[in-house]
Amino acid sequence: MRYRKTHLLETVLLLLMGGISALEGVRLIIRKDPQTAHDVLGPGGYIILVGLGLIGVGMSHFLVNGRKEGNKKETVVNKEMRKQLLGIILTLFLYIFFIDILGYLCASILFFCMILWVLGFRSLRFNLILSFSISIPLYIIFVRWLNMALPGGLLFS
Amino acid sequence: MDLFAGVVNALSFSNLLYCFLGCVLGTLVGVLPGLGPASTLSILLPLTVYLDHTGSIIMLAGLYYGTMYGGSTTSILLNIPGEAASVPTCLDGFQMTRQGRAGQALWIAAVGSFIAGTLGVLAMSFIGPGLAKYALKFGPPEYFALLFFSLTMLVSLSGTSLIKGMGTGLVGICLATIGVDPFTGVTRLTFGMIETMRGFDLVPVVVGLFGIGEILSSAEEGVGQIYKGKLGKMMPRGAELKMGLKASFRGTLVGFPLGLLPGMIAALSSFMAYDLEKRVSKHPERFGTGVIEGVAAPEAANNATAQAGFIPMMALGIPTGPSLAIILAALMMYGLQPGPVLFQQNTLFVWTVIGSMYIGNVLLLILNLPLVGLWARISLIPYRFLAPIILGICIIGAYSPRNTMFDVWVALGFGILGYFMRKKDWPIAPLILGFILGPLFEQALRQSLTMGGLTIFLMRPISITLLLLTVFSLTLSIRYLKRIPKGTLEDEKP
Repeated sequence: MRYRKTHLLETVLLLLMGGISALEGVRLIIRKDPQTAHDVLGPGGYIILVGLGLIGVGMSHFLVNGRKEGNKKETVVNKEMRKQLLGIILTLFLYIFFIDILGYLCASILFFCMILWVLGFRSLRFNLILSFSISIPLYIIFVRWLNMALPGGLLFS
Repeated sequence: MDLFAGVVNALSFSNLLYCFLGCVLGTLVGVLPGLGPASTLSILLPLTVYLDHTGSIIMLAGLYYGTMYGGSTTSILLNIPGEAASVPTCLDGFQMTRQGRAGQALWIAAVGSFIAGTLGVLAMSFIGPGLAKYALKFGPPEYFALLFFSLTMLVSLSGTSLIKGMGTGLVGICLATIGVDPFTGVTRLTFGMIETMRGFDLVPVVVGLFGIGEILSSAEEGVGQIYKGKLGKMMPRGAELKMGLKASFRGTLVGFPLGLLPGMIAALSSFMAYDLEKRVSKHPERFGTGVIEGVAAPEAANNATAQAGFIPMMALGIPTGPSLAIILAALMMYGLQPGPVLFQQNTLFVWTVIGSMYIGNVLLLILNLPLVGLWARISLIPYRFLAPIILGICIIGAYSPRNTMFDVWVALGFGILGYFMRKKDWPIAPLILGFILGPLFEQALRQSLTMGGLTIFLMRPISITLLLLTVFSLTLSIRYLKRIPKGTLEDEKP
């Protein structure tokens, strides 16, 4: 019986999560404060139950779903779309990274510019106009009207 | 007579204006993901000092139940729940949008909310204080049994695979344990990081899984627009309208009693209403593909819960959630002591607030219905324009609850997880359900065991009734799953 790679990975992740939870539970039980003896289950007991549940589900997934999904073919994804997806993730990553440094407004203008580029808009002028058109109203609504404390960054703190 | 006097007083120009302002703000707050009623109420609370006490409570109350109306809009149109209580609405609401039926989904959400809100206020007017006493009979064992019963919803939310549903549910429960244990103060699964000591907030998780995850999946699939073609009718008709209205009534019956219970969140009642609809439906396999009951019931339930929450708050001084706690704080700021005394000594005030709720529900219907056509057109906007705006709002939504960039990283992480879950057919709703229920479940379980060990669940009548109902419900659910042809289940998209 052949198992798909992703199926094996899913099983491993479930077992890993279950194992880590169970081990954490054991650690908490060993280090339990005697003054909390009235708390029968304790923080450790509960998390052990959850961990064991995850391990059980992981094993069931491996044994039961593996048989069902073993012969399923992987769907083929368009390379251009895959590139776009990775571009969006990278842009989001950079945006979140730079918000604290540049501040919300500047980072947002750059983010919208970049994400429009990733989504296929290749005119820099158009992207900048649209970026400003989206960023500034969002800034006014959330920061000025709703008093939300969005990061000012190193320049505006 | 008291109610009549209250309604007349609520119709005064100033009170009507405050009610309108509260409803509009509430709708806006509900639409924006991340901006919950509690945070907005706390921002507005200092400002209400400048208003008279009746007007300020009317405005705050309008904001609170108004958010339940607004929360459905982004759930239906963009698959981003505006509130946690709108998560079940995404399951069928967004599918309806994909079929060009966004208008019908928004219509039934507004009308269902109106039905639930009005019936809720009626119940509040005539039987409210009496019902509130029953809420006091719920202790930790009863809560545990109720939450255990709620966990059977994992079965109906599992879609194609029960094992996958249970897996994601347990993952949600496990993720909810990250942080500081509320009983003992020890840290769990924090791995020494200060940021994880506060655990994960619900909003970044939901925004990531639904909002960012949906954008990433659509980007890979090359989706041009949410819906291409001519939009369907804005209002459901015939048999579909009848089913939607019936589901609204059932959702109200589920949401109202749950709203009386302290600590019971609106999200739970909307999940339970969705689950009930699936169980009573002749075609449960169609849930998740765009059935109107899947929108009507949870929306009615969360609105009924919101209205019902005022009963224990005003009659007993027990707020059922953070938003009502803030409204209670406002009452106490004005020197009004909640409880039976409030009903006796401030009769006009109480009935004016109740009267304003009737008016508020009408105002919300008037506000929301004409905008249905406009909102529905959002589904025709090309994704290349819509996606950046959605992502920008998701980032703000993730940041806003706790003002920390860690939550934004969490949202991104869950967004990537949501993408993979969609790709590999792992259901997302059970993860959210587990994440919401996990802390409540643990709290009830540990308190109950401290009170009297395992036998306590068998010694309390409400608890044992609910546990028996759980066993019965689980048996029925598993039998239903076996009855539905496997091919039909596998055709269901998550």
